[in-house]
Amino acid sequence: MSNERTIDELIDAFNAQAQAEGRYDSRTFWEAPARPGSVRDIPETEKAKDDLAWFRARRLAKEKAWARSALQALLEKIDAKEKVQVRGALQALREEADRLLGEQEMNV
Amino acid sequence: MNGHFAAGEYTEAADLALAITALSKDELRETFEQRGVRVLYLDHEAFGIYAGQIEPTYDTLVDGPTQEVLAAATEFGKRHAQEMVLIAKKLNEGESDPNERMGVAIALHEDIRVEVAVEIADLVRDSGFAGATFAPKRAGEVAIYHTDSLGMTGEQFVAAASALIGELKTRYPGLTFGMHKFIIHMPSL
Repeated sequence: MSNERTIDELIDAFNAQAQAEGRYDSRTFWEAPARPGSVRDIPETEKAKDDLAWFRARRLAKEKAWARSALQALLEKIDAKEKVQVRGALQALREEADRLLGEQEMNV
Repeated sequence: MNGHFAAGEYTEAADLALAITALSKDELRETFEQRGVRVLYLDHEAFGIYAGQIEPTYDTLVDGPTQEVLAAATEFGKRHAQEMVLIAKKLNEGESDPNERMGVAIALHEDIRVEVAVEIADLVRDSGFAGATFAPKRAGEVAIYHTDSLGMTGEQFVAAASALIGELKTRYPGLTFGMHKFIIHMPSL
């Protein structure tokens, strides 16, 4: 017997949580009023700048972590003899990656 | 377009997607109308993420027989070398259907600029959703449907939606949301 809840049970529980937080919205996106004009004309507020910086910093941190783990995985695949030969090159690569990512962070 | 997206050039990818939909929106309207489908609303300034890629998306509301809506969308999609189209119909309260699916709608309640919209799309993707529709002009609405292509159980879908909302709330304190039932049509072309 499955312990999975039915669609109705899942939806009811999810929406009950939204209601408990005072955040429930019964509309789907096409039922919400549309803003006139173009998205390109939305002014750049301080909040928008701050949001953008936050999202980019989050993405860069994710990419940095991915690059580090990929390098680590590569190091683990190489045997001891090869490791000695390529460790220096990989270290240089890691430093270069950190430098480039650091530059990007400074540009956020 | 997806070259830009993959390279993290999100604003460039979004600009290209908007340029494509701006050029073809009148053609989309004509395609629906030729099949007797009424176009109640059509705006090209929307974004879609499908299979982790940014895709041209129209914020379109139509009224007509399902077969004709699907036929028109399929014809238009094929003409533009698309692999798939997605059409959603919301079920009314108390209504049920054997093919019903969950869908979550999240409203950020802020005017969202293009470059921020695409960063939000990336966050949605990181939350495990390979597909999402984003309508920045409608109070910053994000819609995600529980389609087969997500490869998630219902429980996983709800958990991922809750995690995404938790993260978005830190930036958008006025955010509202709700889960509803939909019929989703995703014909491969």
